[in-house]
Amino acid sequence: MTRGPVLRALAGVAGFLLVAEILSLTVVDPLVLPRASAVIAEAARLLTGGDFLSDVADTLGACALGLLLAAAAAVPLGVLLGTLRPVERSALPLVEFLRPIPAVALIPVAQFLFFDPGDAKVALVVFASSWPILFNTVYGMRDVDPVAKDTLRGFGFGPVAVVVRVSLPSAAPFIATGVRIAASVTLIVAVSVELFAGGTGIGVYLTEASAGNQRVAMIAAIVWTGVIGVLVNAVLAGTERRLFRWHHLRTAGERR
Amino acid sequence: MRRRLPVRLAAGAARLWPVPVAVVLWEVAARRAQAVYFPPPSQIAARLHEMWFSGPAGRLFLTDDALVHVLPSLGRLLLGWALACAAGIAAGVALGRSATLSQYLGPLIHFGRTLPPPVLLPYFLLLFGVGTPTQLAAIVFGVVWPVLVNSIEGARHIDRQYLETAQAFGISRRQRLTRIILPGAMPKIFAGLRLSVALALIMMVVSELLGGTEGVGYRLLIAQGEVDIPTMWSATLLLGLLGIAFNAAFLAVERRVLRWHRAARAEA
Amino acid sequence: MRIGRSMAGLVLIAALAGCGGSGGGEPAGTAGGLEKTEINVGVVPVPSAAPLFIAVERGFFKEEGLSVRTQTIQAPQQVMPQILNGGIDTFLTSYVSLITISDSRVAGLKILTNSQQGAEGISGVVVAADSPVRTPAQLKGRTIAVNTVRALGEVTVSAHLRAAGLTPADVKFVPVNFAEQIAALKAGRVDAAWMTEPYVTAAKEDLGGRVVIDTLSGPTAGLPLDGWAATADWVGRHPKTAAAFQRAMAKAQRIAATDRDAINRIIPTYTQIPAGVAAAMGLGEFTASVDVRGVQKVVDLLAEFQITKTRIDAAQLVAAPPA
Repeated sequence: MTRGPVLRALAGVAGFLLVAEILSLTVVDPLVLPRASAVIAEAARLLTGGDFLSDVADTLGACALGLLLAAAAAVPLGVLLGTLRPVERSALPLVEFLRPIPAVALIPVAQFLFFDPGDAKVALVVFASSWPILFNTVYGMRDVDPVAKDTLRGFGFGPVAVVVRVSLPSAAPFIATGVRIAASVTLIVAVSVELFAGGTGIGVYLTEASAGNQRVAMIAAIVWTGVIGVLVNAVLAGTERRLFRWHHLRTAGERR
Repeated sequence: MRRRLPVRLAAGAARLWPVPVAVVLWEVAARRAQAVYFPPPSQIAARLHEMWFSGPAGRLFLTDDALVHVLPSLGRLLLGWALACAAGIAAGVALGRSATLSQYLGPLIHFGRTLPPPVLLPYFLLLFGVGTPTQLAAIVFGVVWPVLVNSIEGARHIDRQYLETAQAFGISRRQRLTRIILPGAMPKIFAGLRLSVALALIMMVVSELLGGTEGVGYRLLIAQGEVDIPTMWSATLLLGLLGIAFNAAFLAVERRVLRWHRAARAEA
Repeated sequence: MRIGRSMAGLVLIAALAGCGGSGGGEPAGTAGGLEKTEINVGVVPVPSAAPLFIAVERGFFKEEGLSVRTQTIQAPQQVMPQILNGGIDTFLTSYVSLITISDSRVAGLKILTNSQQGAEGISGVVVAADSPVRTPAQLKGRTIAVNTVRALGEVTVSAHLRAAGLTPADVKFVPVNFAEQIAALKAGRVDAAWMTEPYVTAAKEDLGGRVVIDTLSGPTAGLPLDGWAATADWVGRHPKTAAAFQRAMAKAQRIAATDRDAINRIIPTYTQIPAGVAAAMGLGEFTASVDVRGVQKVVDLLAEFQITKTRIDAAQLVAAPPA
């Protein structure tokens, strides 16, 4: 990566913070929304205490495990649904029934099934983050160039070989985007579940900060959640670029 | 070749076999388990019917409770979803085609889409006010990200051949957008839109957990406080049914829009 | 795959239900004859939990042969499944939650030890300094923020509104977390907010807030606020453990009742309330014995304002004191 893009990214962030600071100095009362500078100072302070860091570690651990399990479940299922239309049609009503149910509404179910609140959280993370992976996989499988598939079939390859040699590689960028979207879903779900159900993690830190009337600390913790999201996304996007260079070479506009 | 309608209906019904099977299994398991948190689906359906769909026929059987809680939720859901999709596609295509712009805003986008909407609700309330404004803001915020991210990806990865060909023919910028970029980005945009349908239902509920006085999510909040398990499940069942309905409608639209795309692919 | 998992879940429930009542896997006859020596306690991070941490710190549980693990919760309703499946043994609960849960008939709960008894000055309806609202009657048509709808705030405010000639329908209760209420008042998003300590003090300092109704005075004076509870089933299966918990907590409640410094010191260790705020905030009275008549008053108020369906006999909600 060259220096230009990094500088522009920093400029974007700096511009945002500047606007927020000016707003809190003029229009918005700092009692309503604390100043950006106060939040940044508090965010730095959170790193010096062990409490917040151990909560972050708990949340990220649940997210990583959840994402792994979700990918392990959703990619094969997506390949199946994307290649076999009758299976997709039969499974669709059940999938579409389950998908719009908020993880927050399923907290009691998960708590009842799993004795450990941490396990319940991972289960809900898997539930919610599977959908983007599943659907991007299905869409990716459908977007496969039919000519390539026919060509391979023409050479006498079986359906499994066609999936492995053509469909999967061709759908891989879609799947990767799905995983990247799912990664931010895992954070959102994990923190929301912690917020409602307790246990440990960033959400519980927020509950405690809220109960102690520490609003700046709350916002600082929320900011860290967003920053973690940016970092995770950067790592995944970087990996994607490296893995799918061929895809990007074929297409215009990828100049990052 | 189009088959006759009864045949198609029968084929459709045959495809749906997992639904009754799942419902029967659920019923049997719940009856056997006798666990308070798992009422059998028949009991949930009865509660759902009694609570929201046992009204007078002239009102499509909607009860007063449904008029107060379900309809306003659905209204906000549709409006919020439409706003989020329009904003997400417009901003996404712009960001996807302008590397500079996306470099400036990239980190902020990924920052925003990781923020859990439930923790942001208080701030929406402070900025926009109690009730519908807060809820609309929360729905738009929660729904916009998959549309935005997929639109960016779709618009960024347009086959270079097409763009070069277009340039050679000297078509206008506007035509380039409507004839090449939007169609090329369409599959990914639709992947994002499809994610957003279910997400909008989720946000409809989440947005009502704070600062509201009616809605399906508010009803769920009250039921949770009263440990009214059948009502909690009824709201959940309603979401599932709405999910199936919205998805069917979405797929019908998508089929029309993407038909030519697949046709073009098949001819290529 | 997904269907497979949920089926597995249902099979698991079936298995659990099958062995329900046997108290799965807890060793019988351990130290001091306790049915269970390790207990998981659900703790809301508020000042009412102070005596539990005093008891941990001073080894009162250890003396009874108990080892206590705590889990942060927001309210018992949100961890009911865990309470039912044995993941949480005892927990801090407001009497309103206790009564509401009992009213739902999902679980019978028993209070083991009282925590705080209400006192004047620790909760109230607060308005901003420049608000035209000066009397309870002037709240007519106004929006009042409460932390949780259909709970203590709504009930006590309603009782005072009735005394002022209004009904609960004359105001609009909106759920807003305590931590955001001061900001919501400042931004003019709500007209008034029902809050408790330490927020009342903070509202006075940051906002020049005025208390229009002290919600633990007059018709609602001295209502019991919260205590430590378990399910009736749990108490029945662990009578000795319950008694040991009660004895340890009674000692700690006595310290909390008489030694304010002990409370001030312990609060910052398990909450994010700073030491200065902890020392300055108003607190209720810490007592060990449950005020059954007070609890009955809460029961009656909840039934009167149609938050619960039945009028439970408060005596049923109280576990026998330790022998």
